[in-house]
Order: sequence, then C-alpha cells, then structure tokens
Amino acid sequence: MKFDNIIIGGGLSGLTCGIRLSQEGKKVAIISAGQSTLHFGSGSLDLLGYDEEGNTVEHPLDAIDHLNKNHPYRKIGADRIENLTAEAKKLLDECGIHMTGSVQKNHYRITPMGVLKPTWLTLENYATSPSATELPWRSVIIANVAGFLDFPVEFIADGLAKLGTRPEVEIISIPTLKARRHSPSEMRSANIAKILSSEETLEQIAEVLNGMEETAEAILMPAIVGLDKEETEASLKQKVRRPLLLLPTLPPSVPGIRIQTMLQKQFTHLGGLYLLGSTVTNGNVSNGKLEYVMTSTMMDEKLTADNYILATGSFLSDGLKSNYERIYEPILDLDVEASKNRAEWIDPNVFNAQPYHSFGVKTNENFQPSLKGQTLENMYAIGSVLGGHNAIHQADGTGVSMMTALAVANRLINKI
Amino acid sequence: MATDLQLTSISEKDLEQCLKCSICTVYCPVSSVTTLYPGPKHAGPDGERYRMKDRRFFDEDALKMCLNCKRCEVACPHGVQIGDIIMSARMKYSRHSAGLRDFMLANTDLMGTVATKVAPIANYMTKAAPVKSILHNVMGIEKNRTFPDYARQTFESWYRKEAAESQDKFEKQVSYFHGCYVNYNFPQLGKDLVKVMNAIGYGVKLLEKERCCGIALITNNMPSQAMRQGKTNLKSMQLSVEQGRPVISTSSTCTFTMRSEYEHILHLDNEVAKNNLSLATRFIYRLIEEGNVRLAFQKDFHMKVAYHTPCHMERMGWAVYSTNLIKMIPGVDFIMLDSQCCGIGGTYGFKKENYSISQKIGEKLFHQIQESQVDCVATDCETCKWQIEMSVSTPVMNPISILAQALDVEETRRLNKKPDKQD
Repeated sequence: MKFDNIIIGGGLSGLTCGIRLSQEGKKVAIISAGQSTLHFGSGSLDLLGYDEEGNTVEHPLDAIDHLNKNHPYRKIGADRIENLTAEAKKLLDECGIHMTGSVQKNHYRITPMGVLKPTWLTLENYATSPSATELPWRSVIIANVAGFLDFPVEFIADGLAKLGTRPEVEIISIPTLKARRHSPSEMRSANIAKILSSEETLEQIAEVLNGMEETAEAILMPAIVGLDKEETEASLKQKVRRPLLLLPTLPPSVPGIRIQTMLQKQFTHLGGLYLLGSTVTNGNVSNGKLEYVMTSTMMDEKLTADNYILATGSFLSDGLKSNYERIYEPILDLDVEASKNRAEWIDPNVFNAQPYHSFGVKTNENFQPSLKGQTLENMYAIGSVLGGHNAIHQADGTGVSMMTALAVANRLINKI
Repeated sequence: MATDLQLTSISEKDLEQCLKCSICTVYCPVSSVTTLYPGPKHAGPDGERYRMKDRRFFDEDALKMCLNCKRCEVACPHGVQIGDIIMSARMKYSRHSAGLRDFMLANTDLMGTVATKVAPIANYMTKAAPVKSILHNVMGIEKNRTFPDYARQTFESWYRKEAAESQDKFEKQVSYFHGCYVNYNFPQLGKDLVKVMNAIGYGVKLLEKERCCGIALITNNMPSQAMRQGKTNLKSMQLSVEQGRPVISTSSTCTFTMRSEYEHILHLDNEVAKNNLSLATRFIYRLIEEGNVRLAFQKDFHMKVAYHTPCHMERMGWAVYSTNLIKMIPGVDFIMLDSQCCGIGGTYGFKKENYSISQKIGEKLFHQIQESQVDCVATDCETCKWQIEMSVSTPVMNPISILAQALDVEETRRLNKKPDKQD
C-alpha cells in the first residue's frame, strides 16, 4: 500500500501531524500499537511549565531561549513557536476540542493530588486558577461519587486548604451509579461517564448537587462526564445552579480519551487511514532513505510512503526501550541520545529530574533522525520519542508533541 | 554481565507486560453495559496472577461473560493478549463440560447437516412461537432472537453440481474455505465468490475436507473437538498449498480463528494458515494493487454503503482491504461506521442470559446505522449480519456480494484474460 506519509504512532503528536497533512490533501496512514498516553491526560496541554532548574515559568515564550540547545523548542526557534501555538489552537478548535489559555502567560491546572501546575491550554469546564499561589474561590464543595476510588478527595481537600480555599467534601450517588459498584474493579471514570451520558442520569446528579447547602461558591467534581462529547458537560453545568467545574482523575482519563477520539475522528474525516492495534515491526533503509515498513498485522504487505514520521512516544509507549546494556529505538535502531553508562540513567532521588526522561531519538535541526550516523532523508521524529527535554520535570510533553508535529508537517507541506 | 539474567518477557500471552493502565477497560463492550463482568483487566492479567497460584480464584460465571471480541487486545498499548488469557483460563480451569444448549449452538456442522435436509421444516420451526418458547424456557436459547434460515441445498452440493467442472479450465486456482454459514445458510455468498474469482481468472476449488473452524467450540469450552476439527482444516490447507492453491475465506471470524485462535488458544501449529490463508477481499485487493488484476464495473450500479468493522476483523487489522475494495466501485457512496461491537459475539447473543446485554452493546451501532440512511451495511462477518438485520431494518451484505453485483463480469473477464489464450 502506498501513501504520501506514514505516521508511526497514533497519539497526540501523530494525530496532530496527520490532521495537518490531511488538511493539505495528503494521503496519510497512521499506524498505532494500541491506544495512546492521552488516556492518562490531565485535560490540559502544557507548553513549558518549569525551567531546567525547576523554577516555575510564567511566560513560556520568554523562557524558550534559555533552554538547552538540544531542546526541541530551540530547534524550532522561539519566534516560530508562537505561530505554531496559534496553529495548534486552531486545529484543536476545528476538531471540536475547545480549550482556553494563552501562550503569553501560563495559567494553573489542579492535579488529582490537589496541587497547582503551570499549563498552556485547558479544556473548557475544567477548574483552573490564574495564580500559582491561590484559587479563585474562598470555599468549594468537592463532590465525589461513592465508590469511585480514582479521585483521592482527602488529598485534594488538603491541597486546596493549603491554597487558602475552604473545601467541603460531599460523597454523592444516584441509583445507577450505586448499581455500578457491584463490580468495584470497573468503577472507573470512563464507565461512570458512560452512565452519566443520558439526560436522565444528568438530571439526577444535578438534583443531588442542587440539594446541597448553598455555602460554597463552586462545586468541583471529578472528570466523569463528557466522554464522547463536550455537550454533556455543558448540559450538566446548565442544570446545576452553582458554578460546576471538573478536576482530572487518575487514569483512565475522560478528557484525554475525548481529545483522542475527537482528533481521530477529524483525521479519518479528512480521509486519513488510522490502523489501530498494529505494530510497525521493521523497515528497510537503503541509501539513507526508509523504503518501506512492515506491520504485525498485515503479513507480507509493505507499506510505502514518500516520508515517514516516527511518533512512537517514549518508554511508556515503547517508542524507546532499554535492556541491561543500552537504550534503543526498537523499530529501526535509530541513533539515540542517551548515556552509555547505565548508572547515569537514573537519579537515586526519585523526585529529581531523571536523566532517562531526557533520552530520545537523536535528530538534526529538522527533526530528521539518523542511523549509524547517516541522516535519513525521508524520515522525521516528533513528540515524546525526541530527547533533549523532560516532560515530567519541565511540563513540556504535550507542547513538544504538538509543536514538533506541526513543524514537521509544515516542512513537508512547504517542501513540495 | 551475569549470564542468567532474564532479558525478555517470558510470560505466557505477555501477561507480565500489563502495566495496569486500565485502557482496556474503557473499550470492553461488555463491562460498559453490565456489572456482571469484572472487565478485561480484572478477568484477564489481574485474575490470571491469582489463578496461577490457586485455581479457586477462577470465577467461571464472571469469565463466561467475555464475548471474545478481543477489543481489549486492540486497545492494549503493550501487546498483552488479554482476550486470549481469559479464553484460555476458561479452558484450563473449568471443570464443567458444555451442556446440551451450548453443544447444539457450537456444533454448527452437525446442526447444519441435519437442518438443511429438512430446511423448510427447520426454518418454520425456528420461527414458530411454541418452538421458540420451548427453546427459550427449556434450552435457554433466547426467544426474541431471529434464527438464520437454513438453505435447501448446501453450498457444497451446489458447487459439485454446478461449478466444480468448469473450475479446471483456469490456470490459477484458490481453495475456498466457505465456512458453515455459506454452506448451510447462505450459499449465495459462495456463489458470488465463485463468480468474482472466475471473472478475474481464478478457479475455485474446495478443500479436501472442511470442518467448522471451531470458534463456537472454543467459546463454548469444547477444546478437544475444536482441536480435532482444527487439525483436519490445517491438514487440508497444507494439501491445498502443496498443490499450488492458496486458501481464501469470506468470513472474518473463520479466518481469524484459524490464523490466530488455533495457535493462541488451541496451541496448534498453524503456520500453514498464517502464511496462506487470507480473506477474499484482501486476496483480491492485493492482486489489483500489484497490477495483476483489473476490475470493470457496470455503469448503472449505485449503492449507498456503510461498512461495519467486525471485532475479529478489527483484531486482524484487515478492514482496510474490504473498505478499499468497496471504495473502488464507482457507483458506491461510502460511509465508514465507528468501529464498535454489534453485541452478538457469535453464539453469545443467542443465549437467553446474554440477550439483553447483547442488544444493549449494539445500541450505538444500530443508532448510527439508522442515522446513516444507507441502502446496505457491508461487513465480513455472518453473525454481525444476523445481529444487524434483526435489530435494524437495513440489509447486510458481504463485500464480495456487493462486488459480484457491481461487477461487469464479461468486461472483467476480458481485461484479465491472457492475450495468448483463448477460451
């Protein structure tokens, strides 16, 4: 099968790149080995939350020039990042993913541990704060569903109290959710959201929330509505008298799944082919070019394209692997930026920036990887498989995914 | 470096690769609609860890709720064979043998052989209210379910009478694994396949011996019979391949069973199936792609078609072949339905205790089909066809039948005839 572009990996970076290319009429295939790490998403997209020393970044664009020169943002250039963020925002809007925030100044999302973290864009209907040190409410109700354990209310209440907001915890339920507890292992965000997708159940939840004493300014609820569509959240909000805002939960992430679903829908709507549950097993490189890739599902079928984009993610997604001897990229064994000395992979203090988080596929300024020192002309690497940044320590993972995806897509569009 | 280090995962069905990320639970059609099933993660890798220690952790009633769709495996980012773990656990730990109801549902060959002999009576009986009531109350076969009709003449006997002789004149040949559905219920699909293959210059032969692929035996926990039938099929395929005939099928589930379940669940050596058994749509698409075959279509053919991806098709990753082939037909207005389970799960939805779950699972798909306002739904699975036709009024066709209808046979035959050879 022949395509203009083959993207290996169907998460945030792969889909962003695939949508952009499809918008220009390219014939694109995305091959995805299972579902992506968007399923662990926070409902926010980070651009740059902390500098390399761990200080909070308030104005991400200003901080880019201070990053190490291997950081993907430096390869793109601070001046181009601003345009790309606008492009990313537009792309998300077109997919029906409505987010608020500004690249000029970070705002703060609330984690499922009740801590504030700097971020770039957050889904509408999710709780955020413009400040790093306080919340916009004097008092809130944290309303959790009985038996839903992926939302540690006590931690959240503690966290909010430290920020000067008085939290009240309310445990709520309705008959269908009570029945769901019969299977405690399946009392999870996505399953609850499937129940809370009908007007009837939303009415019932709203009635419970409206029945509470009206002492708090706002109600915070775990992200257990809006799995398929944003409208479900809006519908619930409309039924509840006080401001109702959502907080992310432990995985699986309802907002993340919705972002994945919407991006995927847009990609296939634009004519893209999304092959889920298929792993690229190997490929053939000749004269500095990737000639084709093979998959786990299509037997002897060679998939060919003018350009190939590696968007396989980091260790968690098997985009990078390690054994006792080395860090490697498992499909083609591309050159990686990683310490050869295994003792240098980790920092014994788990809270420090972990060196291995910054390992990744080595690329040139255009994000073209190399094999045994030779640059692959028709291949690009985007997203978390790239080294030179630390998604956890710098809160830049989703930003790197979208920025590199768009930078590479634009290069491929303008080249021809 | 020490030499006794374990360098790779050695756990069966990649059990140890499970990170407990719970992604599979999001995509399980069963646990989405009922609390009776603890979900793929719990029933699969989590539960297996306990079962390996003590078989008393085996909860047969819970594991029976799995409809073997394998959508958990498609979703898993780490290649854990979750569905296989669950199905294998049922075989490994269960001490119950299948009851009469499950025996009847699973023995498609036996039931088909008997029923086709008395097809008009059998078809009348399976529609008659008193019979359905007995089946429901005594046997546990759901009374609200529509049974597929049995054919008066099996595909095999039609083939021997009407088609066998003319197949030898083709230089290139394939063997056709028709499956129980084509043989006993819907020979027309087999006839369509012969028509299409002949038009593109391929003769169609039957396998020396064909038995039911055995998927219903696997899901109804009759492994030894499934293995016997599997061995017969693999042996026949081997013979066919040695005689230069690759094997094709028009059923995604039969294909999946012989390519994957034979190895993962029954532990049969199925290399011959993995290398030589293909779905007919894939086989034809690849011939066209390689430039070896050309199709010509009737000018006045028009059809609005929506494709439904059967679960086992999704797991094989081959839906693209069927959809690409349908999209080649100039008169087709094509819609891709969201890939989701229709709820039937083979014999699963025929059981009284599963019927309401089965229909609830399919609701979203049924709704999307109704909204789409298509002339027909295309799909490669016969049980999906039963479920959709029973639940929605839209007719369902195999892509091969659509192709057979749309094809300009004479012109296609002319295009694919070697210039030096005359009929």
